[in-house]
Amino acid sequence: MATTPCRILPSVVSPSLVRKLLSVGALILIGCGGPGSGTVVRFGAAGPWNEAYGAMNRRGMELAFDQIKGRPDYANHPIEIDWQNDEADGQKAATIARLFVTDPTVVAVIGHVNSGTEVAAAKVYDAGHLVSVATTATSPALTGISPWVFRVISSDSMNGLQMAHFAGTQLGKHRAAVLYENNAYGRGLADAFRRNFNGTILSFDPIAEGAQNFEPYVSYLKAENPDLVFVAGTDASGIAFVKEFRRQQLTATLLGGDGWTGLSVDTAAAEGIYVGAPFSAEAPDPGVQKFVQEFRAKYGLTPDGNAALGYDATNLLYYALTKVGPDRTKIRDFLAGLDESSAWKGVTGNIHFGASGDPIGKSVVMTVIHKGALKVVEGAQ
Amino acid sequence: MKFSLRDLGTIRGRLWGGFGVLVLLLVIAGAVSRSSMVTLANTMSSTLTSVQDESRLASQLSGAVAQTIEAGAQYLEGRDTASERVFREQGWTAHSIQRQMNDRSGQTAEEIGVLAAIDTKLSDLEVKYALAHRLADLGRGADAHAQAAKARAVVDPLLSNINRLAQLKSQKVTAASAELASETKHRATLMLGLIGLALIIGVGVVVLTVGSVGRPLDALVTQAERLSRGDLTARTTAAMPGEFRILADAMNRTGDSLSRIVSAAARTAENVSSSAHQLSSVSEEIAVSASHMANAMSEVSHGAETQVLQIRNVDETLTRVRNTSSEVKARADEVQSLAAEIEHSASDKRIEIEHALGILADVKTSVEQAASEVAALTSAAADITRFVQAVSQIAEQTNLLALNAAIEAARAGDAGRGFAVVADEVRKLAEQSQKAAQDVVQMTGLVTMRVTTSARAMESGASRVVEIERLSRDIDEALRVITAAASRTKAAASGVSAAAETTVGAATSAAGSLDTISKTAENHAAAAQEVNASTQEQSAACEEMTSASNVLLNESNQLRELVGGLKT
Repeated sequence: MATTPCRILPSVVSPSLVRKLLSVGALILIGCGGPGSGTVVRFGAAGPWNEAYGAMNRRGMELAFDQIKGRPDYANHPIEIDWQNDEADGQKAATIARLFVTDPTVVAVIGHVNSGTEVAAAKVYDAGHLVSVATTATSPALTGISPWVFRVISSDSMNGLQMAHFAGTQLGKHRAAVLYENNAYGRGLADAFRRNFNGTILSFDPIAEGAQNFEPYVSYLKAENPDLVFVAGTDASGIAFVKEFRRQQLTATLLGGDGWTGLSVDTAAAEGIYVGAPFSAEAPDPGVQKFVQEFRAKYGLTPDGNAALGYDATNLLYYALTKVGPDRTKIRDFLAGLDESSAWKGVTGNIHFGASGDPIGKSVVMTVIHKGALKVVEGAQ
Repeated sequence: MKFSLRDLGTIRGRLWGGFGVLVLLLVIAGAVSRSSMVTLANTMSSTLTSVQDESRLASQLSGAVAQTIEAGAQYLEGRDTASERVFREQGWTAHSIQRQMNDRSGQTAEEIGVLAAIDTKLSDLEVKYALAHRLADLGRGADAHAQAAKARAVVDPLLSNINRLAQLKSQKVTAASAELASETKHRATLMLGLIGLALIIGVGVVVLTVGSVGRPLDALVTQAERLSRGDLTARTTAAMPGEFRILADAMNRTGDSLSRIVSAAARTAENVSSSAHQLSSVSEEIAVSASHMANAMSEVSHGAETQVLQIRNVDETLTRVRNTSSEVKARADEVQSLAAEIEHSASDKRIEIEHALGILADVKTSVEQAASEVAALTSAAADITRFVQAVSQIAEQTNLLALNAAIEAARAGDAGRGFAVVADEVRKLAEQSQKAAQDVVQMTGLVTMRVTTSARAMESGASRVVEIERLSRDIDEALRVITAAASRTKAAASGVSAAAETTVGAATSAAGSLDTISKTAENHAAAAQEVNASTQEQSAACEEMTSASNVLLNESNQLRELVGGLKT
């Protein structure tokens, strides 16, 4: 592959630089070729590292990267990671995507983490022909968005459907109230749940991201008296909600999506809450348990779905790199070519993709929080 | 077609050059205008489509947002489920439109920013109104109103964002229009420039052409008029464009040529006049000669016909000769074959005779041998006779002796008796010997006689053999003569046959020749008749020529006068 001169961009992007880059977005697309021989090969990694779920994503990726560096064949396929914080912001994500696309040493991207950022960045990866493997972006809007965009987590439409069935058949609930964070993730998951729930939806209310005052809603729910409350949001708002819910002593069953996997940290309040998680550290699979132990050894924490998916996305891309070499197109073709028999085995399950870029056969694991841990609900599917 | 700078010296070159540039400019102008049209049409079409889509989405977005705000406020007053539904549905619609707009290509950073802000503010508004609704549901009117006030606080910034988006879209339309207008103006200017240039070049070409045609044309017209008045000294030497220079040169050369021709014509007219005179008299003479010739040819024609008749008689005779010769040949061939047969059988006979002669020679030799043996036998017989006579004398003597012995025995008495018997026996033996000797003589005589007879017969036979041999040789000689004669006859017959054949060939050939001669003679006759006719025509033509030469004489006289009037 020919080496062509290319502008070297700083790996740290300040907000002012982001704005400048936006205005000269077209310019940085000029004059760049593929990665030259002998140059260092990198994976881009992007997510909201400052958020709790973003940090867990990154921990999973870093653990995978540490293990990769320890492998005997690392010398044959050395790799570095270019960490970029997209702050869960679509515009920042698009800017970072352009940065990755124009950097010839970047052969693939781990992330993004959020649905909104991945949707915004997908257009850039599509035009720039660079593979992006989203970790926890679950929005249905991502399905089939580009042949260059994959994700290791199942879509919200799949997750919402699965949780609606679980609520109806497993839990036997038929009067549900729904709260959702008013963003792409919340709306997508809540909508999927609403459309698939076999019963009455008593209310369907938006809440702010990271909202803290839930007194009026909990009071309202108490009056409505649903037998199930489904919340499509993150633990940022979830903890406040659950606390208020306990304070007012509501009896309805609580069910949350993958955004609630971090809720288990509040051991007392979270006890008995059902969570549709992409991963359970309690799963008996030896591969999962090995990962959980290694993760605990490194961070002193129990890995959640964020960590597990970040870990899987990193390892999957490195696996592709060792198979086809540092070539963007070959890596994409390799990922697209995985099928049921050649599926890659990760800690979140076997991974291969449909034409839409969504994983085939993956779904959430129905868990219940018990003593601060996500316990797999037996017989749930 | 090759075109060089040198060609610009000619009107054709200037016209080609001028019109070439003109056509090129017009083609360029056409291509530019067409490409402009196409580009503008495409740009306009895509710009208009894009603008339409964006305007539609923007108005849908603003409508959805407006309805959300309205329904949000309305629910607080009436708490009707319809308003609740409209509030939620329109909010979702607005989010979906916002996503669609965000997904469109060609969004500026500001547009994306404004869209993001609209989404955030709308989400905020929804959250706040939703909370207000629940507070109202709980019957906490004051809290609901406070919360609604917070929601309303978001409305103005949201609407201002929507207005900003509309403004941006409108600016985009204006910018696109301005760009289109500027592009159109630019293309129009370019086209006008090209067309103007083409016009200037066209006018220049016309002016140059008119100028370069007019002046030389005047000079040439003047020269032509002078020539038409008989002034052959008129010449044009002024400088002029290529084609007129060629024309002027041609007219100048024409003047030169005319001068030379007129001088020559004057001389020729004189010559023609005198020649015509001579011609007239010669023509008359020829006419007379032709008349004579016509008569002569008439006779020739008659003679030729007679000749044809005679030749046909000869032809018949020749045919007869040919037939006879054919018969002769046939007979000669027969003789030839007969002679060959004779020759053949004579040769055979001669061979037989040769053989007989050989046998005769053998016989002759045998006879001669027999004769000599007979002679030897005869002499042997004579010897025998003499020997037998000797034996006979001996026997006679013996007999006498026996008688003497017997007498003596008888005297000796008995003692002699035995002797007497022997003497008797000897006498008897002597008598038998004598008798045998006489038989031998007799036999020998008989043999000798017979041998003699045989010898005579042999002599006679030998002489006959000689005679036969002589006869045979005569026959052989005769046969040889016959063979030679037959051979000669054959040769002669062959000669006759060949001669006859030659005669036939000659006769045939002669007949062919005669035919040819006959035809030739007929042709001669016909030709003679034609010549006769021609001669008569010639005679008539001569007469015409005579009158024509008289006309020529008159004309040449007139010409001489005419040429004399031209100025050279």
